[in-house]
Amino acid sequence: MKLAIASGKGGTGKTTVAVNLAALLAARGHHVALADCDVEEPNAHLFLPVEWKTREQCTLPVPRVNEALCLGAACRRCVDACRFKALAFMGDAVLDFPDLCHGCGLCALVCPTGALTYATRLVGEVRGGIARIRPAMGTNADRPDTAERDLVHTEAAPVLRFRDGVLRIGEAMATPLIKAVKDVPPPTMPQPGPVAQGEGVQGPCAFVIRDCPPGVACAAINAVHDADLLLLVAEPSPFGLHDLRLAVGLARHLRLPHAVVLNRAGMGVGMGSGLGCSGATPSATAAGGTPAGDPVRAWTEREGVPLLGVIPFSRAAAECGATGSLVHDAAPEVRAAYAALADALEKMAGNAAGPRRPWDGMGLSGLAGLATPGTAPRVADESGATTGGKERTCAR
Amino acid sequence: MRQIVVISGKGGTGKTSVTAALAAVARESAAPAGGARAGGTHPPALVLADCDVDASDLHLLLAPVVRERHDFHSGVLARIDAALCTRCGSCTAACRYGALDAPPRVAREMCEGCGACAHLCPEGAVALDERHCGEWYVSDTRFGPMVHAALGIGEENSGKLVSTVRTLAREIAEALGADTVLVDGSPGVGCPVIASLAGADTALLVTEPTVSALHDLERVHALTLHFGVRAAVLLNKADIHVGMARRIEAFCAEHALPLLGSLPHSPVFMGAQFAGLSVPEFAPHAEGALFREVWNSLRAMTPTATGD
Repeated sequence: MKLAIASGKGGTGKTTVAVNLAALLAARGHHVALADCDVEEPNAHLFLPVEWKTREQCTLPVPRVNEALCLGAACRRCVDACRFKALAFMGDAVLDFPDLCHGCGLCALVCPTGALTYATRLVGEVRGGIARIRPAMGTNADRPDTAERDLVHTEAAPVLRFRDGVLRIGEAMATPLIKAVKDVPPPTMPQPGPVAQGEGVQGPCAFVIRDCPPGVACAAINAVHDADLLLLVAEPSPFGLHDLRLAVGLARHLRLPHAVVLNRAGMGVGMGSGLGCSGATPSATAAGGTPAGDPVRAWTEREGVPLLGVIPFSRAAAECGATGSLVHDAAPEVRAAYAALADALEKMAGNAAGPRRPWDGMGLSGLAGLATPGTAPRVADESGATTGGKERTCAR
Repeated sequence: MRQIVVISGKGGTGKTSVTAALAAVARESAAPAGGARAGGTHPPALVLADCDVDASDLHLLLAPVVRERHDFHSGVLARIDAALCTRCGSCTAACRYGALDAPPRVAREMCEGCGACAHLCPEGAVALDERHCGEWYVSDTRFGPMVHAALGIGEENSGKLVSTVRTLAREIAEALGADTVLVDGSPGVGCPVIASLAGADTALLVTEPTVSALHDLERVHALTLHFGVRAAVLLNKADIHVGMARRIEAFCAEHALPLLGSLPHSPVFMGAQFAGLSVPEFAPHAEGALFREVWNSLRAMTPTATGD
């Protein structure tokens, strides 16, 4: 199951949810791979004791002009063809500006003499490794020092495969690096060891979890676009709601099954009506907020977007996250919230008819029923809210 | 004229709240009597540019009244005439972005508009249409004019849209005699951030005391060095973790980065957001005073004479 963890707004807790969920699922005995696709600001490695195994450079082919073969002013085809202004004609020669190149290769295709060859531009580095997770996670304190001691040297510990990308400073194009990072095969070796199997688990499943960049533009699109499920992490604030709406818009546009995880729930409770002068500020409601405290929850209910998890705000968890430790054990209510989220995902992955497509025949209405127990499941019938027309377009 | 850009690397550290707060205190200092509102006789203290074009939030605090609305077209998008397409696969093989895996369908969100497919198609079935990527607006706010934008869902070229917004904000500032353009940037260090940073005078790096924010601060600071933009740091939510706050302070000292202030993790930020107000409007005394100091420091370190 390919799980993309994304959000419109930055700082809502994507990385926190991704690393904690990955560690918890691995501790339950599943085969988990975590890909940190936020290559501009990769942070997931700060939360896990990663043993790095591989480092590869990710490069983009950029043109280099062989002046001996170039026809110069008589031709100019490459300069005219390039839509990114990476080639210019100055004086008597074609000049290349590799920083502007998008690596499309058209210049070499149009060149009649083969004068255009390729150099490479460094986009960034792809790093791969593993992190050993304490099997007893969720029962002991997850302080980083104990984590180091317990995790790294325990042969029987469940293994989480990890990969991330680090964009070169000054590089504008993140997408080639994201494509190189995002599909990590989960660990293949079975981990029959001390697996703490929860009730109702039908054996280990394979999870690929992607920690995606914020926003709804090309970087986010490339990271999420062939995921089986998009988990949108939102925070209960007017900014959080506004950007969640954009993210749900993107999910519908891409026809990706999606659900919301509300993070720091309760953080803004009472603000809308209590602190804010509710009568005098129509803009708060104009922004989509409700007078009540939690604009995100109200909106997801109204829109029929499944709310798959609610992680309560906890000062202790925030402090844990600040130092780069996992937050499961910071507060019991946070631990319970992650456990419930993991349960729901296990159920979905376990229900998979085939090994790769847990979503076939399930649809979002099933998901909605799963996510909102106690209320009548709403059928999300907006266009793109079903899995039927899911696009599979990317080569990778 | 000076251009000050608020960025952070990590998302959610409070860029937009800080931008709105600085705009509010700038407005106060420009019109101390409080009588002149936007559109009054005073020139505006600054012009705002919301360059977080794919998830912009500044308008939620500033309630802009849109004066101008413009379509943003950038680049081209491939379109394949299904009647002419023979499914030969030339375009699929040539496309480096995976946009043509199932011709004649074009995956719009993957297409970079390079035109390689049109060049190679033996049937001439590929047309390149001008691409509508979003809209940008010129608006009035209570703190002065604002240029902002909305990137279309699933669209590309956010960097060019950022450049468009910044250019317009600068032109408006020059026309109105405002001495500052204040830019709300986006998270990350990639294309839109580079577009909002290049050529600016000062970058205010908003951070928070977490390992993630420190890691991202290091990278975004490297980016300011790369582009030769002066940088200063504002530590937000400083009391979340004292030890990490010390590490941020140490990082600033080590790299000679001026630390312009430390703001507490205060419910005032959230309250202001729910009220649709900037922090100094919502809490004029405590947090407002802190922002006045930050703004004065920023002005002092960015003399207008340096603007080119």
